[in-house]
Amino acid sequence: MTTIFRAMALGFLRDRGALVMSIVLPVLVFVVFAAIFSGASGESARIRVAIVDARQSAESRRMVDALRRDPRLEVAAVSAAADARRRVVAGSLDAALIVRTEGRDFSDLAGEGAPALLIYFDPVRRAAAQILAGVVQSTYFGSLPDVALRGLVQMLGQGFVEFTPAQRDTLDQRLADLAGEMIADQRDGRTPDGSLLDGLVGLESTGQAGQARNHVAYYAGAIAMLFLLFSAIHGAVTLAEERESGVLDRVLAGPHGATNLVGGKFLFLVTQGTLQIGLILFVAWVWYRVPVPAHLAGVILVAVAAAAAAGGMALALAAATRTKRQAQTIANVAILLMSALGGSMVPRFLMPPLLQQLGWLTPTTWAVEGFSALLWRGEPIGAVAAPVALLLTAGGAGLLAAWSLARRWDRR
Amino acid sequence: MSGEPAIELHRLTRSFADGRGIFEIDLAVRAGEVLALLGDNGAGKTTLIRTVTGRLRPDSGRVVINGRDPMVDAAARRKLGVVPQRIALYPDLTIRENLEVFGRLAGLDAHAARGRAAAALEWIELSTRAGSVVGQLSGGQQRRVNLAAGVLHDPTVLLLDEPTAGIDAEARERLHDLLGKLKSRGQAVLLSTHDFSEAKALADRVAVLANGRVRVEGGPEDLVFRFFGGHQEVDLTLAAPAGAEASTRLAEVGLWPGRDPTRWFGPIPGGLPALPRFVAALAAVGIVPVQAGVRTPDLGSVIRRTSGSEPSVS
Repeated sequence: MTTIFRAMALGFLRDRGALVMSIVLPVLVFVVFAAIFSGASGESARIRVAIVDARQSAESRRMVDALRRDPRLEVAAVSAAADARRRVVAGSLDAALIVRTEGRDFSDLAGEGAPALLIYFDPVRRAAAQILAGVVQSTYFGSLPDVALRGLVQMLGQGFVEFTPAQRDTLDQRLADLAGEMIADQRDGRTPDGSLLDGLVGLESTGQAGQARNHVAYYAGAIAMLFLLFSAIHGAVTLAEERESGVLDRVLAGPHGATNLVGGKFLFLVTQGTLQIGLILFVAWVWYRVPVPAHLAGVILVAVAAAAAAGGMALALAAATRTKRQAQTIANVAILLMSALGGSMVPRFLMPPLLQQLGWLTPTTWAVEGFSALLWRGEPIGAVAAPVALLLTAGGAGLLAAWSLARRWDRR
Repeated sequence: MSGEPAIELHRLTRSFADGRGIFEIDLAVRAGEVLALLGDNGAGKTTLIRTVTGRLRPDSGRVVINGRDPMVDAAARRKLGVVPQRIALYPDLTIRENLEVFGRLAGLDAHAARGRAAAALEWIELSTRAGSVVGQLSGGQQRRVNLAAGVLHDPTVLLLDEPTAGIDAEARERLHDLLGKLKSRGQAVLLSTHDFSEAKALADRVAVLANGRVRVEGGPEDLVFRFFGGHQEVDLTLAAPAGAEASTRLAEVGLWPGRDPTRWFGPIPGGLPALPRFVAALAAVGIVPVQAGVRTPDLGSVIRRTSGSEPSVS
């Protein structure tokens, strides 16, 4: 087995294509994915919107001014509603906010007619529209509290209590004072004291890692598994090459059987896969501060189990197929399916429920879950017992299948 | 040559679904002897070699290597050296690394494998290129390494499947020199080839295979004499395939047809001087060749006689 291991290792080190695919490419793709998700999901993410004030009332101007100053929005200079709609359709803006000429007043929250504000969006950017709606609501209560309270008073007066003229005068006076304070604050560039919603909802993050770093931690495992599968099949198809070239004839004519041949390759693939995952996680730790050292034992366990699963399954496929091309073709389809369902391309939690369930059938999911449990959710090593057991079972089954299939070469 | 056969094949049969294979092969090769398996592509040479190595399980019959069954006895396989038809090497490894790997796989320990690899490099005259990657060598050099990898562990039985396929004349000559040295080491060699000049140069005995059966077996010179009796070989080309009556006439004068039904061959007593009289006699019975020639018969002539086909290499 050690001789085959050595031959595989030397061949791997001399095969520039294999080196690039197994070492350079995974790290490169991981860095690209990490850069995308650390940028797109971090605190600096902004929605590109157009805001068109067709009403030009005092309230609409206050609303638009407040929105323009909101750091969550990147407001494009668009003056006409039609132009804004066109840019949303073209994809150059995430959404457009239009203050309608007609429709209800800003303080009329429950009346007849269309709402004062309209968000126009492309269905593929529904999330951006929902975020914009949230920003508008918080701005409404934070920057136009007098208008919001007036609306509430109207609702109370219509359905719950009847205000006396004195009470109504007092309310009007207080709301006018509040409006004056808000206008003065805006004019002087002061930030309002706080939104009315601040008393309703507090925000607390998960703590040690931000959302961006969580995505990086997720993709470290996901990308590692994707390339682990490709590298494993690249190594395993040497079985087919050896059959085609006659090396197998030479090996099997000697005292060693196919069991040793397959065993040596399995050892090499597990070693190669573990190092490959290790390299990606090393970059994730050094570059993105993913807490790998804090979970080192668990990470090594998942990495070895994942490499064993990939190696075992790849060898079983290579032993079952007749030619290198056949093995490669089947492997490409299988890897793409497993990677898609297993979350190497798109996180599983973003998938429809059925696909999420199907994903549990793939070793990619088990490995990604294992890495996520440690590096994302910060769970203890015991949390990876199930993923590791599943991966080792898959690897063992694959190795046994490869051994069993290879024995037919011994004496056909 | 010692008395005991190193390779014994007893009524060895292995067939495939398409009807091809080898059937009831009885052969023996003694230590220090080279037996060449001659025959066209598809005659069964590679199947025979692979059955002897144990890669194919025989349907019936037995293979005995040094008195042991290589199917079940790893020690018997340790004495086997195999040189496959294709370049069965790791192309990304250097010559030295390949030799060491195959030495280890043949059962040598690491120290012995290194020593034998160094000696083999000398033997195949590639010591100066020991660090070269095999995939970058010429075809002839790769063939030499391919041969060395099969004999590194000093096997008593060597199975060579078309060891000179696809290389030029100069490279073939170098390989023939190496194979000649192997013979002098006392190894029993079973050599599959369709190159009858190679068989004549290297083999003590030749077995001609056709359709999976041994058609004839003997020393190269003996076989030629058996079919031509010391006469020259005549080669006639007719304008069209001979009819039934013409075929009978041609057979009566000792000729046999080739795979091309317009070609007829056979011994011609008297050689070239007798050719005009020979042709005239055929013309007298209505057979007029468009071309006639005379040559010294060789193993190719034997193949033509035994398998009814043209040898692919002359």
